[in-house]
Amino acid sequence: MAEAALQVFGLTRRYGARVVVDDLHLQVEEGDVYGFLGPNGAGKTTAMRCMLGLIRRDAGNVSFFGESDPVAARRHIGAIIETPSFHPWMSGRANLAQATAYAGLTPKESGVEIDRVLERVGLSERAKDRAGTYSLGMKQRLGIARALIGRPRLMMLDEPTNGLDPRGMAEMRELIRSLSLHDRITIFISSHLLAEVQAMCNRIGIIQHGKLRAEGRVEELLGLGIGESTLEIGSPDVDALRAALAAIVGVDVLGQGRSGRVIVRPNEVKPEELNARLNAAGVAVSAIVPTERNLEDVFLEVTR
Amino acid sequence: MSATPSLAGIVRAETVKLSLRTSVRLTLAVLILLSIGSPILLFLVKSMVVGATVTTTTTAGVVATVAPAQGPAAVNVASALESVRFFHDLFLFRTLLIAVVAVSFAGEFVGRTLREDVLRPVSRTQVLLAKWLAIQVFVAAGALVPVLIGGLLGLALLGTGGDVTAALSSWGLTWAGDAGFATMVMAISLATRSVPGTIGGTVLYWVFDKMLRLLLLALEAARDQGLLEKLFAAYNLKPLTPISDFFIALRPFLPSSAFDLAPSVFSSASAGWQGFLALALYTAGSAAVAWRVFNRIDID
Repeated sequence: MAEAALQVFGLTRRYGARVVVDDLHLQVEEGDVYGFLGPNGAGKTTAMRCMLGLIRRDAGNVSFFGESDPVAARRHIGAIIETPSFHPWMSGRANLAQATAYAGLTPKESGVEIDRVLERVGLSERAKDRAGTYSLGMKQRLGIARALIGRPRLMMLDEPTNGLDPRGMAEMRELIRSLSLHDRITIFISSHLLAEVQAMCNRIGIIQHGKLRAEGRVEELLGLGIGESTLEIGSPDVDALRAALAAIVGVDVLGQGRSGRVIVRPNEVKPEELNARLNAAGVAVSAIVPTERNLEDVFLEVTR
Repeated sequence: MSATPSLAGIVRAETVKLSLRTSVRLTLAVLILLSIGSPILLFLVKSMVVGATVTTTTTAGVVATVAPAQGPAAVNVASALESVRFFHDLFLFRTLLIAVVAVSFAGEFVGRTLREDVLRPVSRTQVLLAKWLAIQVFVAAGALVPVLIGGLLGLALLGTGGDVTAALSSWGLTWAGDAGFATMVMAISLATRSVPGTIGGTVLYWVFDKMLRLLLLALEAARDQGLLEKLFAAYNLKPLTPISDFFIALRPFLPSSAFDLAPSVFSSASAGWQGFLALALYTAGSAAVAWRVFNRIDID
């Protein structure tokens, strides 16, 4: 059986008495696009830094592709933690040359590799410009290019779309998708943009107060809890609707949905039967639709 | 997949990066200018003195500061080397060295570019060693560039003669002192992890060292003139001669004795075994502190 791309076991990090990452366990399989979610201050970036060996961990083990020695493991990894930093007085190309040396490439190999990664992120034309003159979007792309040096099998991206305009976000999203699909790189991505994560990732972990609160495939997580078989019912007269629903045996009123709709769990009552009963009770029904659950609902539910 | 990085490759990359820094380019440019200008200045002065031996007492005085009391004939390649070293000290090469070391360590820590290096398949010891060696290349350039340019130009313009061996060994001692000093600044830079902290820490070291040196000099003078004994006697105290002797004996081991082995603008010290030992100890101690700090710090 293939080794997991990333395996985290009991990872813990404290700052004084405060436990920022608390006995974190997670596993990312090769080929996954894993979304690492959590509210601000949940410990995502600290956990990623611990995994990469940038900061000390107080307990736990981390291995990448079965390799737990951090120096050896980093051969498999490309990473961007927060905004990538560059030497602003050096060209984009010169910045990448630094990275190729640290990746163990010879000067001859370096030129070829730099051309490849620049081409991959679409920065070839600006490669000779000083990195200090790059826009944020270009810096992010240069960061991806740098992370791609040495052909990593896993990329760890911490908020890669942070601060980008909508076009920049879309380009970045497309690039990440393409890295997964075409370059077959396993992706571990932390982001606040839940819709984006839902669209890109196949597996998700949600962290809060340093602990993993939920983990699984996206469709599994979306199928959890109240969303499994609920309906949203709309009516011009919400009070009458609520009163009529309360009188129907077997239907549970769960709460308020979007646009003033009422969320119910119909249990054994079919939607057409429910519609008929409401009409019989004199309630005008404008909509009966299955509740659409998205990652935001799951996230809010898990982290409330 | 990445190969195993070689130390030589990383040092080369770090040296290239350092060479692209404005502070480094500026320092080397000034050194080159001084290395060219100094022998030319000596040549002009020598020509003027030879051409007007009777009247140019003022100019002869200037020459005398460079080639003491020997007259124009003593102005030669050795004088050129010494005069370039004089300017090397005078324009405070070490001040610029502090700046270069500060931006290479604390500056990269604060700027978060250090993070990008340690994210690669290299140990922190390798990263530190590569950056230290790149700084040492700069230190070496700071000595070799003036010696080569000043020496060759001095030879061409002023001819042979003088104690070239002594001049070159002084340059060697200056180089060794600069190398040790850079290592100490590296340790301060990593301990403070801030550019102002590096500069402030180094200034504090300098002030502390000079005050301690003055204090020990005063103590030595007081002992030699019998003032210490009189002081203890005035208070009916037993003289603490072994203790005062111990402290006085420490003076040759102060950092300034270690890093200023050659006579310079600021020091007339000449290298003794204590100075060499102190240089080795301070350099090794600073390297050990830097290594320990670098291997333990969190790199954001």
